[in-house]
Amino acid sequence: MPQVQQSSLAPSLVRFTVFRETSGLSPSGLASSEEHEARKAWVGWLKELWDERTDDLLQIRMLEDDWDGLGAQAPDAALVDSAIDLLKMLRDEDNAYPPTRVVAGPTGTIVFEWQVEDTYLEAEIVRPFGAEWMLSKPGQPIVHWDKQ
Amino acid sequence: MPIGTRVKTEQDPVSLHEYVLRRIHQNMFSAGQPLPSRLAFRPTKHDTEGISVFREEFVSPKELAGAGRKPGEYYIARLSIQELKDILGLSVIPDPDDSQPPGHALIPELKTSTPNRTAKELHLKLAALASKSIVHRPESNQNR
Repeated sequence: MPQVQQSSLAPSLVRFTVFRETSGLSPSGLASSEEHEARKAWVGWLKELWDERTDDLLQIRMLEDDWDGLGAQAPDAALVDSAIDLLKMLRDEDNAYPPTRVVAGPTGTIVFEWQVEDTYLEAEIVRPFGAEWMLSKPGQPIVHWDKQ
Repeated sequence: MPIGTRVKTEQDPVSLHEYVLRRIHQNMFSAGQPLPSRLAFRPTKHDTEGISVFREEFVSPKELAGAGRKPGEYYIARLSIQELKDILGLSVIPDPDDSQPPGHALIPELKTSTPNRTAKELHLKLAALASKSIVHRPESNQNR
């Protein structure tokens, strides 16, 4: 099971440590082919998830006002472009895990969500190049911060 | 009906033993995610007095999901008035509206002017509460 930890360099990122930093060698001194295959599958799966989130943003770009029938405002194109840029930045980070969901809100904002067990992290893109972050962990006060 | 018993009307105060229903657009749900997005509980710019809910005594989940401008695209969450009060400190007030399905009511603590961070935390807690009682799903998403 992936473990959630916050990076000290980029506190806004959830990083998942699945493969411990080891030499990658088995006790006999030979690389474990099972671990190599598992790592390859993991990387492939992550790539799929990042691609899915990009596709989600392209779908969000197509939304029109009242897309939910309840009066929602469609996000501006500039905001969607900014969200795509943020997603690319996150994707370029080492060991960063893709958002588990990308969703448009009723007031024209876009939210990246990470839900892992009882931990919840989100980045709400409220203006081009401006995001509000929120982190909720069980038994701890919810933390908010803004980032340009 | 026994003599002297009055039929409840939409204007009557909401009692603690009642339940309300909230429409959640299908875009706010994803397969494999435990919670709907908290954005399902954010007011739109028109919700200056509070977010809309519907009293179950006046409308069924199926009727509510089939009403409005995007019928068939909604999940319906069922929320206990008692839990809303006890767990989240929220109230529900009647707000009958001819342009809405029957039983329209408002959660006044969640309106456009609610401070941003307070509102976000309430949305998240409401999403967690709602996830425990989804009573209707769109036909295209029956397995979610």
